[in-house]
Amino acid sequence: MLELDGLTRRFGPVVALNELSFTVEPGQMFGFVGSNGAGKTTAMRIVMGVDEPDEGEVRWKGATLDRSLRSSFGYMPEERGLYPKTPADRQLTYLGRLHGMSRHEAAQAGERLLVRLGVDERRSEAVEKLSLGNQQRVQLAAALVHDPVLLVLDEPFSGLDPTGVDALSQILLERAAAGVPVVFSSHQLELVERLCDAVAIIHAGRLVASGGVAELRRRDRRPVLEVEVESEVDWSSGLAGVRVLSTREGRLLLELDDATDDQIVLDAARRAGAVRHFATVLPTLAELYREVISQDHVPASDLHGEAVP
Amino acid sequence: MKLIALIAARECTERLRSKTFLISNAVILGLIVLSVLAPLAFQGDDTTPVGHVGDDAARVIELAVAQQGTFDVDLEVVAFTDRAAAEVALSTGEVDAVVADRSTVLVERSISPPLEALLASAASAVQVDATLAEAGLDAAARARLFTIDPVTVEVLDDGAAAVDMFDPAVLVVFAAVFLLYGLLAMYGQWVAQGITEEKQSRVVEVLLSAVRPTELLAGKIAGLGLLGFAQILLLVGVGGAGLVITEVVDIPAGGWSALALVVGWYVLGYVLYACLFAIAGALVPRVEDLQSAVMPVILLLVLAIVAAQVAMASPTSTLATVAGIVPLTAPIVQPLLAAVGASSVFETLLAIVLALGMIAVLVPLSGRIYGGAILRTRGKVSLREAWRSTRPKTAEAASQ
Repeated sequence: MLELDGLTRRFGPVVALNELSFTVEPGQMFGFVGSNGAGKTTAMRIVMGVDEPDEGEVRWKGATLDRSLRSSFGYMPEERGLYPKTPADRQLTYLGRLHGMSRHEAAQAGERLLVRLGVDERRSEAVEKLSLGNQQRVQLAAALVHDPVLLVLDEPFSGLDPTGVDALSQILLERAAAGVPVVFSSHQLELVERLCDAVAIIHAGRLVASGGVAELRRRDRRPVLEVEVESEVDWSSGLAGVRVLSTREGRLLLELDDATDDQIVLDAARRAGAVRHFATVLPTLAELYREVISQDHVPASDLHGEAVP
Repeated sequence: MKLIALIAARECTERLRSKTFLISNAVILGLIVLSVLAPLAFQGDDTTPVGHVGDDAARVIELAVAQQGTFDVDLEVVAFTDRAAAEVALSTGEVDAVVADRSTVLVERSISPPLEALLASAASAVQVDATLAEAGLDAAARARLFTIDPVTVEVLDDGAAAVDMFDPAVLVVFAAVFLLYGLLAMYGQWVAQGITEEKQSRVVEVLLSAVRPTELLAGKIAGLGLLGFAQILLLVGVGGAGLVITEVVDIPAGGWSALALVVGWYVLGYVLYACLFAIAGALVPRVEDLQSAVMPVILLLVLAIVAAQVAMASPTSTLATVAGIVPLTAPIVQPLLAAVGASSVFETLLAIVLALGMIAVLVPLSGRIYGGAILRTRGKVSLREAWRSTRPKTAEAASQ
């Protein structure tokens, strides 16, 4: 279990992180969402010990992080980086050994990953000669080579083609299924919604929402129904406790008061005509994100992407 | 410690894999072997063949051989039965000169001045001896007359005793010091370049998730340092062994200890300069910016080698003494001064202590600046920013 507890990080006058706290459970796919400069990279760097907080701390299974704990984590920085002139296999062996593996273990683990990621045929070519997609795969292998107990990946999907996205998703889901928490940031909210069990949304360095994706989508909102009825009459306007949000392509979006029973709405619909569609609609993560961001009036800082360490 | 060793090992193996490195080393080694062997080839057989005809002439040659050291001539003596045979030998170049009798020297065209002076001196001695014999002096008395103490030269102004730059032993030490300078510049720049490359390629952030900045820096400096140490040992060793084997020059005992000092000073100089190069390398974002960043450090090195040349011209001048003690010039100047005996034990020790002291300051300083600058990948970082942004856990809060 990874706990970020009250992390605050200032760069001069700019507050990059403001008492950021959230928890990642074992085996959880955890999406980290926020606009550019919201503080995601800074938070991940602090988790990895590449940067240090002014206040607060990060704990792993209750223990404050130190170098030896972090050494068992896997990290993919926002700015990709490998030794350009070193072949993938030597690169992975070296990184594995830096994380405490023996040369033999590291070489084997690297080899397995390169096969798995489909770049084993280029294993002895200088990394700079590989395509960007393949470089990205090697970068992921670099984060995975020492069989980490936690994965921290900054924008792992950016720059990948759809096949790459699928391959990476599958690997991450496998790791999570094996009990490894996977924390990753992404701007592809549909992807985050599809992959993640839980998310944290941050804005201007502060946490604005966090929790299970499903709960977040339900939380604090009136139920919305999407209904399609073969009828010419306006059956919905008069219903008590129901507000029509929109009509699109013959479908009505209805917001219900908390007290209103959706079965009453269904009855009214059936009286009006044949009901072709009747479903509860939850906001997408993208909608939720826009909503919480717009409610948040803290002005965005002018930090972009890479935060100054 | 294990991590530092791992990082150091990588630095070595990556260099050893580089063809440029191997080729340039082979070239340097080749040049050293060549410069050891070359004098041998040019020197060839540098004896001077001279002939003599008859007993008087033989006596002249005998005295000439006895004095030849003073004239820096090495005679190879050939006896001829008659003048005709000697003239043939002269015309074929078999001999350079022939002593025909105690007052005649035959040459084909010309005679070298030292040889002429040597033969003239020997001939006049024979003539004086003959005259004294005629005057009735017995052999023992004449022998006493010719037993003369050789003249010794005393230099009064020992301070101005400029080093004889053509003394082979000094030349060898000077070559070794020049090698030291070259290796300091080369390995120092590799430290800077390696740091900037890791920064530019962003791999440093991946590395820093596994190791501390200080470990990364220490490993890099140690790895390249060991490689450079092996290289200077190899080059000085091959050069020294070559000199011993070929006997091109006689290195006095002091020369060997001077060579050992060169190797020792390489270690101190490397650590000093590697720290400075590391700082320069950490501050810039791209390898393209490196040249201007390392310029001040290179200038310091150039200053040191210039000081070394000045020190060679007048080893006991104040400038030479100071340059031999100040940490950043001492690694290059001090071994030279020691080689020519212009540095007292106290000065040598003082230079070593000061160098160690400066290392003790530079290592943590460069570690902090490196740690503060290495992740700032956008644009050049000022020393001040780099110094400030490393965050000692407690001091930061206090300073704000």
